[in-house]
Amino acid sequence: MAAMRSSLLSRVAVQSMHWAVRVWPDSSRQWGMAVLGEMDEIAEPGAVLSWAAGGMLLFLRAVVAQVLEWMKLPAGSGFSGAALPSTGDGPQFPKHSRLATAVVLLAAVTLLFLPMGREAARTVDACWHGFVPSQRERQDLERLAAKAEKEKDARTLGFVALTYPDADRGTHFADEAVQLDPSLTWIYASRYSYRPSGEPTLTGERLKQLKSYDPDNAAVYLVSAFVEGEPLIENRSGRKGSAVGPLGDELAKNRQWLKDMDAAFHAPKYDNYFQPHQELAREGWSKAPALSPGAIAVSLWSHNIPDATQIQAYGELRVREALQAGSTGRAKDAEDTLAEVAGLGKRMSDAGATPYERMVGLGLMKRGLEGYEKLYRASGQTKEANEIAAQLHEAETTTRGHIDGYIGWREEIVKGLWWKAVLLQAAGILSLLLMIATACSLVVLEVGTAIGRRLVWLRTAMCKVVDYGPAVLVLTSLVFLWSFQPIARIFEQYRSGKSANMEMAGLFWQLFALRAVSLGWYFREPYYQWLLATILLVVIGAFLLVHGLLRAKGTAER
Amino acid sequence: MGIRLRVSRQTLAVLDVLLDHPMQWHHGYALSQQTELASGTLYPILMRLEKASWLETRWEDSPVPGRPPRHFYRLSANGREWAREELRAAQTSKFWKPVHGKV
Repeated sequence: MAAMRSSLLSRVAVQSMHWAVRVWPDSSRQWGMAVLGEMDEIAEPGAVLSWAAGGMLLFLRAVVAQVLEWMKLPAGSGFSGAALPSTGDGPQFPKHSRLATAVVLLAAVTLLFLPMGREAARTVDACWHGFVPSQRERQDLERLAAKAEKEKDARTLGFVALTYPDADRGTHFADEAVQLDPSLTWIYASRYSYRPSGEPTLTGERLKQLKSYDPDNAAVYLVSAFVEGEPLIENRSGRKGSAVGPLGDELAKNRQWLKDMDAAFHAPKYDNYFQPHQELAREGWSKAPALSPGAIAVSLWSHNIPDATQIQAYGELRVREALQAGSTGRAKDAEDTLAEVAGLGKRMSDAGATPYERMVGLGLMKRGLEGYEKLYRASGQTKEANEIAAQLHEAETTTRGHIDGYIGWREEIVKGLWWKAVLLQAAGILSLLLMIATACSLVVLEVGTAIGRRLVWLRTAMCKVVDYGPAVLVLTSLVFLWSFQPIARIFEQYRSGKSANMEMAGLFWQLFALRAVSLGWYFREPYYQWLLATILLVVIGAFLLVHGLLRAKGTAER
Repeated sequence: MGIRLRVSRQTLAVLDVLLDHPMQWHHGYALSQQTELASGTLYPILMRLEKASWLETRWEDSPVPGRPPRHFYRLSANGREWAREELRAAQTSKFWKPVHGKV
């Protein structure tokens, strides 16, 4: 049995050497044949195996030596010279060896694969996808959630809940996070507005939990009211003309909506949980820094902000009710009602974490004050009416100041970041194009031997790309990394910083600037794809036409 | 004269065997057995010697039909001279001790 096995192994060894000799590089094949020539003279199977092993080692050395020799030649050339084009005056091979090209290409690729290069590529990729989360981001978040579930890490689960792009899955993680740590119940209020599936995930049970978690907060009742009011608003957008009545009147038919709005207008405080949301985003991102900025962008942009339309609709109802009360002599009732309207407006403008909330608050407060002024003028209380008019003027000035300050601040930040974003994306696109052009040129030069005999100009162009493309790629990669540096710094500050608001602003507007100048985004649109395809076809068609005409002219002249 | 070679103990062992019967043709397996070098070590040495023109090679058909031809080796005239010098120098410097040849 052992002899049979030895014999079989010997036969395999001899066959392997036969195969190796067949594919052995020409320059040293005779040595492979020399090794093979001895094998039949060796009697002992173990010695045959050992001899064959040495032969295979020799074969590997010969192959490596051959590859190194091949690498010393320029792309497209072979040892036999069979690949040499027979015609053409221009440079028909690249000037540099394959090895030089490979080394420079490797240097460029290494730059792009450094941690910063990878983050830059992720950022630009996310930006070209319009920050729509990719499948890979979903997988990253799933992995993070699985780890958090195992470690019973409620805050990370909360982060995933606020970051996961699909509402249903996000709500599942929110449930898990809240179950582990009820102090995270606010999560339910923070992700409602982002619902790509179009199905509300805030069920009655979760709303009840939210209300009992923070009963004095107007924001939780506003969220509940929006859940009630949204179907009607969506339904109204499909109707036109006389079928559409005042929004407030239609919404007021829903008793739950009225109840929630009433509770919101009476609640002593307003907190939209923006601060804990971004703290959680920061915490989550520092735990998983490899996560794409796109995922963080989704988390921050998906924060639930109040629906100004519904707040204003209810405010209008209350102001109308107050004025009616005033006209029937119930001045005290009217004042109380208007105080509720102006009160919520003030709380929102004072405590709103986002400029939008503060503006909605100021608008509501002004509406309440306008109601007061009308009430006092109607009842002949000129002095009180004038005092209210002064307050209104003050509110108007504050609003204008907010708007100007907000626009100026935003423009200042965006302007500072704009060119960096443009440079980053331009360097990214150029790097990508260079990579594709170099790879295509290398492949065509290596396999397309016919090119050069017929399309000399194309071969010359490809040689230039192979000669200079990798070096330019190193340059564009460096520009890519350099232009990403300030953005990376903002990301890092956000992940590890202490003064949350400023970094939040920096991150938010950086992402905004990147998204706004997302050059790659255009090429995702079918319109631009067709436009590009048409331009390319026209250019190719025009070239073929001119080329054909010139050739015909040349033939005629000859 | 050819290329300057790095002369290792293994190379010296091969030279020693080849000088033992300098006019005789040696085949690879016999050299391997005499020097106790594996084929993966022996053949690169032979290749280097041949490239430096110290080694002569020839092919000989096998008397058994169907078997591949065998490759034989011996030192060239220059090679013999050079090998003797190298072996002597290695012996003097106690880098290597002869087994077969008489330098």
